[in-house]
Amino acid sequence: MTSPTSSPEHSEYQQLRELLLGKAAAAKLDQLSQDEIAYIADLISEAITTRGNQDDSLSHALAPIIDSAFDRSIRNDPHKISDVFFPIIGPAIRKSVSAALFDMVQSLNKILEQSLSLKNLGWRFKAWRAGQNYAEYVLLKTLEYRVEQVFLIHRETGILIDSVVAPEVVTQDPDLVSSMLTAINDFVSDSFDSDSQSLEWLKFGDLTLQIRVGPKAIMAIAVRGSADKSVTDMLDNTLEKIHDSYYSMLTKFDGDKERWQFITPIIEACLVSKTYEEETKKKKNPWLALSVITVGLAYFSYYLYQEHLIQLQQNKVLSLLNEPNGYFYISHKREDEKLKLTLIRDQSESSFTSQLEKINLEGLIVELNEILLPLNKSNQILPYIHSLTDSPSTLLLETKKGILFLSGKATEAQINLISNNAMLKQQFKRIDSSSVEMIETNSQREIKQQKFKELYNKLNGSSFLFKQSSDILNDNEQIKLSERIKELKDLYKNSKEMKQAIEQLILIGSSDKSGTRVKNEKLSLQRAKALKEIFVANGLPENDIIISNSGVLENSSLSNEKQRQVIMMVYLKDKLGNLKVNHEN
Amino acid sequence: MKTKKICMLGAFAVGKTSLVNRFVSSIFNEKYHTTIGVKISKKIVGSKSEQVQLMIWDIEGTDVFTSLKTSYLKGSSGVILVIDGTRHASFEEAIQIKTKINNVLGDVPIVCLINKCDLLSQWVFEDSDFESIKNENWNPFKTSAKTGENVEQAFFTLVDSMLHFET
Repeated sequence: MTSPTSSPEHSEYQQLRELLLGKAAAAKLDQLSQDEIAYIADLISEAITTRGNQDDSLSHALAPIIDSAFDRSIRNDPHKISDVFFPIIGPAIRKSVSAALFDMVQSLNKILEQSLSLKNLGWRFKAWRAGQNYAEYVLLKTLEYRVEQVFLIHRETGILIDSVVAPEVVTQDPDLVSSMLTAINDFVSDSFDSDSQSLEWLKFGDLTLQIRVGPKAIMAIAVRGSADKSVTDMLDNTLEKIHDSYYSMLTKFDGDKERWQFITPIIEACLVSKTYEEETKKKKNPWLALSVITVGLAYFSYYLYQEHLIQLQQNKVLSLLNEPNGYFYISHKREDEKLKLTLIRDQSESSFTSQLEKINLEGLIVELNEILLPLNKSNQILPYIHSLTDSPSTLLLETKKGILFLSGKATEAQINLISNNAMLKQQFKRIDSSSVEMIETNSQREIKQQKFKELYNKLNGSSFLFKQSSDILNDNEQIKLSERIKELKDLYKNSKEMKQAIEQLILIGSSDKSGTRVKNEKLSLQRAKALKEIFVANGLPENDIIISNSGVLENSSLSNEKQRQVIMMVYLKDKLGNLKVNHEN
Repeated sequence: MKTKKICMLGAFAVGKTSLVNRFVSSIFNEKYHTTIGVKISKKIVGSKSEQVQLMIWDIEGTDVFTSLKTSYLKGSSGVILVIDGTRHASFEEAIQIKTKINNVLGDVPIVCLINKCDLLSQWVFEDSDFESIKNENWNPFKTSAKTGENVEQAFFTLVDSMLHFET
């Protein structure tokens, strides 16, 4: 039968067919289309393969379809694609990172080798002695061979068609060179009766000129070093290729080189070279680079360790000053191994050096700058007190009858620093900070705001569970209840500071489905009332609390236990986001 | 800019090299004459719109002992034939050379330079000879490598004829 569909239209259509055609015919038609499908199914894979082998039209046709199919598939389930890629990404990244690191170490090694190795130093010396550029000398030593110049010459006239030069090679005028080369070729042929043979190579020193004479063109290459057969073959092949492709152009050559610019890349391909190192392409152990890196790391860690030791010593020295004694710390500065320490010393005390002798300084040099504080002139210390708190303070200091009075504005931290200072406690009978206006630092303020927000969010929407058919809380709700009450009190307390008045607490009771609707209505309200009474009994403001009921929670998926609850809603006068607080720096 | 090969021919010591040296650039020494018999130089001739680069094959002077190496002539688009105006023998030599040129290169454009015209006292080239070769398409010029008289014009004329000969 045809594919099953549950839509009524299709079955009606089916009925119509059967009526018109007769049941058997309709079935036969269905069978036919099934047969067609099977027929196509048999052939389709072969057909696609055959077509694919013929030309590209199938991929052209399918490309947009596959694109949109892919698109749809990814949109439907993007996770599938990322799941497919995920196992690949990790290893791929790791691999590329390790490859990059390896390459870096290898190239560092190469550089070091080239600069530092004995062989290279020897070369530098030889190059200097020979008056040659070091780079050229290196090239000489490392190259097995290099094609330095290539000429393509019109045979009949000896005119240069095109020539190329390897980088940094010094050359003479290629036009003149190629004409002369032709002349020499003619000369040799004439002189040695060589019967249409021609010059094949000229060698002088380590430079070889290889010449190939074709019917219409001559090709010559200048090779430095000892070239192997591949170079000669390349020369032959290139010349042949040029004759094959451009024979008629060569015949009609009239000296116009501009028409022959296309030939440059072809002859440029002949500028090959080979270095000795390419023979051994195996990855060498980059010991030089690694040892340099190790030494570097060792030095660096040694330096860190030293620093750490000195820091320990420094801390020891500074902590000495914290003990109750006659020294008042002002400042310190570290310069390498030297610690420059500035402090105030009470005249009755011995020099701080005596204190230092008690501890083992181990390499740390302490340079002391002691400011003497005369006896009974404690107010001389006042200007130094500000430096303790390390900030341009709005704090005011005054001494009267041996008592240090603090006034003005300061943070709690600053006041504590001063009150707890050993020397000050020694110098003054008492440190009075009662008239100081405390200012909050920004961070303190933010913390408080955050806490308030958290508290509010916890309380708003919290629920309390009740026993079945009762307005008594569940047994295990007691602890929760007392916590919440405490938190509510905190909220009230902080609301004044945060300038966020609590407008209302609304308690909404509800019940589960068991029992009659009327009873449940009554019960839910009772529950809310009971909770209110507990709140009020614990000191929360009665006027703020409103009770309400939602009766039975229709269609709720909550468990029955959860349905027997009272929800508390907390309403603030201002929106929580607009917490306005006083800033005072 | 096209490049063309031309040859400078003539008896020995007629002043070919001096003529060439005054007006061309080369990297090769005089000794090439005696070694391989040719020295090649380069010169650019023409106006800015139509310039031609000439590869000048200065071929060694011929005499009774040496004959002209015709292989050097191949592919030339033009020839400069040089005669020493103070030696008649060089004129006869030139006639023979011209025949060879015509054999090898056919009807290639030629200019003829009768050189050393600054040496008036020793001048033997007669005006009648001058006229005769003028009629035979020799394009003669009286030149002096020393003073430079007429040399540029000779080159220009040759290039001109070469370009016309092509078309």
